Amino acid sequence: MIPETSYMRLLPDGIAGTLSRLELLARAKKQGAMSGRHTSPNKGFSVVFAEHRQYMPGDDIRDIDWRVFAKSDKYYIKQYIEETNLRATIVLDCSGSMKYRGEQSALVEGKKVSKFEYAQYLAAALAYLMIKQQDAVGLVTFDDKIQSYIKAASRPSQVRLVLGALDQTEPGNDTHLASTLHEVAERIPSRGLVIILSDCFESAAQIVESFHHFKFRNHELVLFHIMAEEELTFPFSASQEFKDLEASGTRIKVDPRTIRAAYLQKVKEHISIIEKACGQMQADYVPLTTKTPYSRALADFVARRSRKR
Amino acid sequence: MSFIHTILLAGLGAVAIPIIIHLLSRKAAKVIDWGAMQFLLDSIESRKRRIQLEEALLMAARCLLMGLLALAVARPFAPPGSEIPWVILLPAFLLSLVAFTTSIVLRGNRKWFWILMLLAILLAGASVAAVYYEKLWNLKRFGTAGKKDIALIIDCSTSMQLRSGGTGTNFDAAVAEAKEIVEKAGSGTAFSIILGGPTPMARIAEPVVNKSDIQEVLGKLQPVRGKMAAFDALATAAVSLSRGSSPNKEIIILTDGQNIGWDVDNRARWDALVSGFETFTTKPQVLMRKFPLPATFRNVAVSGIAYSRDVIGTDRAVSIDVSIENTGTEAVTPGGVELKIGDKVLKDVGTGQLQPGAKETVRFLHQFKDPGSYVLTAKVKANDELSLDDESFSVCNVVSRLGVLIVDGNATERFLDRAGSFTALALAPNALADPAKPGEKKPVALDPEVMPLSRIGSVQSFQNYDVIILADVAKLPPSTARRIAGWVQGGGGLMVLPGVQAQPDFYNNWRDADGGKLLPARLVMENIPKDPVSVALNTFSHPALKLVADVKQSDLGGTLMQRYWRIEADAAGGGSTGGRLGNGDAFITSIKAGFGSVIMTCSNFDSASGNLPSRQAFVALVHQLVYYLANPDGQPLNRQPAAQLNLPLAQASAEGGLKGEYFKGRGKDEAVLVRIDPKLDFQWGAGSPAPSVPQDFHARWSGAIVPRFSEEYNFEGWGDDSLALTIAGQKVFERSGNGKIKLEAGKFYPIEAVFEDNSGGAALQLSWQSQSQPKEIVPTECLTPFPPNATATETPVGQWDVAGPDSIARKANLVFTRGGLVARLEQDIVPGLYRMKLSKEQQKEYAGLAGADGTIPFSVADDSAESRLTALSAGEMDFMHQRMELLEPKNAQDILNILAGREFGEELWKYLAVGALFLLLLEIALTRWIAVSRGSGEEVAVNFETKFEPSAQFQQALKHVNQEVN
Repeated sequence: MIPETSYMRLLPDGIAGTLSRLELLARAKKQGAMSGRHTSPNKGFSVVFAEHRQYMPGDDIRDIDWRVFAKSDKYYIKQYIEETNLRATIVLDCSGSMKYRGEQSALVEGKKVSKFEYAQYLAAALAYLMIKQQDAVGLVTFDDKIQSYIKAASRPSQVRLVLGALDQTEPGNDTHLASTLHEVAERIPSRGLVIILSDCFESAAQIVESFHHFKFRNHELVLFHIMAEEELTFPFSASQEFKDLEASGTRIKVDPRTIRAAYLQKVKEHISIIEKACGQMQADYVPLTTKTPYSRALADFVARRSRKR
Repeated sequence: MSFIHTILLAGLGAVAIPIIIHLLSRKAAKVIDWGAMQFLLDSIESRKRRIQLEEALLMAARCLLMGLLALAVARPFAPPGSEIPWVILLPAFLLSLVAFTTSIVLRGNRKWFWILMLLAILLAGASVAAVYYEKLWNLKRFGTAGKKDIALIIDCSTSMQLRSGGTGTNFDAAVAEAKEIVEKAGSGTAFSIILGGPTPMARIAEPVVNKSDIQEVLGKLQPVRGKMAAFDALATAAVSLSRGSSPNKEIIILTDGQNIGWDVDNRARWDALVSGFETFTTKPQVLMRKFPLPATFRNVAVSGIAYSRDVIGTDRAVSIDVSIENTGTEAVTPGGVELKIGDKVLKDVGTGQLQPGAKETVRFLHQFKDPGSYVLTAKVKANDELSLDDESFSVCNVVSRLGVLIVDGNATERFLDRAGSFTALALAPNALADPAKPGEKKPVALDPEVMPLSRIGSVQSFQNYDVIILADVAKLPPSTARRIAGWVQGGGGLMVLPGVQAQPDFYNNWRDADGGKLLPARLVMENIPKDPVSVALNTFSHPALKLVADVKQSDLGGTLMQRYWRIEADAAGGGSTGGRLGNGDAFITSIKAGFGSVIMTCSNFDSASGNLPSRQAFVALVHQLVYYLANPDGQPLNRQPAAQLNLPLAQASAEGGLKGEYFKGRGKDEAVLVRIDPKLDFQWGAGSPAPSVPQDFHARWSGAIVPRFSEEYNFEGWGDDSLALTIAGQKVFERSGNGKIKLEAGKFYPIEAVFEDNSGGAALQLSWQSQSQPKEIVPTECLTPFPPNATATETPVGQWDVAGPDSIARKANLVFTRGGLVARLEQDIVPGLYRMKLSKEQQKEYAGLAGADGTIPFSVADDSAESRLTALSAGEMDFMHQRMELLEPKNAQDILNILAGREFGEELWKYLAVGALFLLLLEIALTRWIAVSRGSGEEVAVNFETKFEPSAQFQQALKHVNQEVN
């Protein structure tokens, strides 16, 4: 078993099954995709031993290191470094606005998740899944500046690193999402996969511009656009005081009914600009509400990736 | 604006309710930690104005609703004569409410918050101050409860006979309200009652408290004909109030608000009245209660009776014009116009349809057979709403003769070269045209007598003449000049025609008895122009010239003057120019002198002066001038309403002599007869001096004596039965005989002679003698009845009963004045027909004035403008408001409220309630509208679904894996 460290909370039991299933699916897919083909780009690269890891249900029995079993009476699997082109960097938005916890969000471990927690879980699962697939995974967390940057690597220990970092991350201050994304685009080596998890609360034009930067750097872009259901439907009726989750803490008293139409219109425009831009630059745009269980998002992701290959 | 329940204004606090709810709803807002601030801010930014507008509107509507309800409950009212109109005040206050609520809604915006808040505070402050000020002002006005003197003026004019909707006439309604006011007025309130007719009639002249007395007087009030002389009524009211004892004075006028009689054009009079008001301890308020005038009505009125000439004789027919006027608002076809002369219905003339405002004149021709007074009654047969003015009266005095004395200054020449020939011819063409039959008596009214200047001194008395014409008289002897001056002042008419002989020294210094100038103009110089000068008809303004000034009928415009006097009207002395020549020189001038009048022309009417006598209109000109001089004021028995009427009964021949007063028996009563006697030389025998004087009488003569020489005079007198003489306070003799006294020439010495006749024949004689003065009966020219600076010039002679148009008993006082004997009426002079009752003796004496029934009729005219029902205009009301504390109560209750010191006025709560209802609907509509406009957001939905669909292959694989795991 994986040692019980605090970051393991990011991979709750509920998701473990899904993950392994997806892992299996991805692998089968990969194998399925390779069978009968001679031109697999991965062929001949996955022979360098990397490390042992505990056997988990679904692992191929053939990979069990029987010698280790003979010594320790435990199932370990030999893992090999698989040379791969995929270097994925998960870019997690830790801005204050991500703290929003809607009433209608999905339950994780019996708790309603905030957008940030949702993103956290999703990032953790993604990281785990990809490392499982021998892909290199890195992590950038940022609010108004880059908080942490873990370079992409495919070492199995990378999971711990990434998850640890994820666990440590707290949503913080204002986001200057666009400017920070520019910086991220510069820092991560080119030709990678960039997975952005954000609510994109920033001027749509600027965000789109920063996406272009990624594209310019030949990154492949996946945007998990995470929003709470409330932010999309604005279901409030009585007069409310809205307090800004970001550093400014601005409070606005307003009768929500008076601005509902205008608000929704704004949101709609914002989303459509981003979605359209993503479509144009052939980035994957994945709209997610916190209401949706993120396992589905994962499946979706896997499906998208598999189609790409 | 004031409030009945001021305390309930606390309800205005309810305005705070919507504000508090608004604020609380903001306070109670749930705090939500929100991420999508960006969109929120953006959308708020874009919706901010609209949100604020909606909120402001809603809040304003709600606050106004509460405010209106609170105000309505406090029952505001606009006091009459409110200085600050509520139509401004109320909206100002409500606006301040709106500004206040809006400022709270907009409190996010400091600038606007303060602007609106300041506006709200200013407006509210101003409104409160205005209400408070008006309250104080009202209390000042109404605060004088308690004892009061009230002058109650009731309009009794013709128009008050109209019905303004109800069953009774306006007059009945006014009397009923007056009764109510008297009944319910606080005890101790004193009323004087003034009936407002053409002249104000004080029914209770001095304010009295006893209500039953007042009610009795009110019960007897009757409407009269004619207008209400409202200004005079106010003045009378002020006089009556000044007799009251309370310091608080009020004047109540119950009227239909016709503008006639208010005399608003006469500012000087009004200012005098207002300054009179200010002498009271408290300035009286004037409460004008207006009864409505009907908007439409049917009325035809007889607006006047006019004669074609002012002096009517029995010689020829006179045309009588009856004018009728449709003063109503509807076309009327009268059933005919009828003129009654005495008992005789003259003619019945039909007229066509009369449009509103149209006038028509119906002409009647009539020749009177006998001299005397006739009552003319003109009647229009129209079944209209005002019957009083369908009939009009006029009294026509037909004279037997008009004595004209032409003094010819050039009598020795051929007939046509004489100075007075043309004038005499013009006056009596018939009499002179046929000299072949001198004995034939013709019904001649004008009776000209031509007298050479040389004979003028021998004329005993000018009493028989109505007019004297001086034709080219060089000058008059001084004594004659003085006699004529006195005669003119006593009522005679003098025409001066200066010819070639005229001596300016004489004319320019001709003085009347009081030392003033007798003539209207001064002779400057005789002018003989190179080219004859024409007469400018368009400058003819003298009333006597009206007929000949008409270019269509008169050929006087062709007159050419060859020689004339340049005369200069003495404007300072009252002389006026009545017509001019073509070159601007005066043609005719006139002046009133005492009771008579004088006309002076620029030349004599003879052939030497020009072609004037050859004009056809010359006859008319001379006639008109003579008529005017005989009767300058038209028919003497037709009068205008006045506070005092003086009807001339007999002219005083004041050219000389003494004033004789005749008394019954030896009593000290009033004289039964007063007259001017030219000299004291009577032989009455067994008779009496006049029909009205009994055989047993005594008499007293007074006046002044003017001696010719400065000498000692011996006066000799005898009387049957006795004569006593006093000169300058010195008794000359007591019971006939003689006495001596020293006198100075030219001085006026008061003289008094007392005669007693106890029984038998009556006779007396007074003569004088001195060194230079041969013995003679003291001549007229040396006696004067009215010496200069005499004090008492009026002597009461008696009283006559007068029957007026109503049932009120009137008395006319007979007074002997300088102008002669007049009948003086000072009581209830209302338009209509009057008859003075004479005894049989008096009937003989005043036969010339009496009618067929032995009474002397006279009429008082009414004002045809009264029938037109022109209401007081806003401008005229403003004029009065500026000068008086004028209130316009709407009914008796309002008046009582004012008297009791209660505030009152037009209640406004109804308007407010309607406003509140309207606002309620507005609020509902607003709420609904806002809800609908917000609800439009419901349809907006954000599409946030992934459009990615995993491939079938993948889905199968997924399914496969799932199965494997399970």
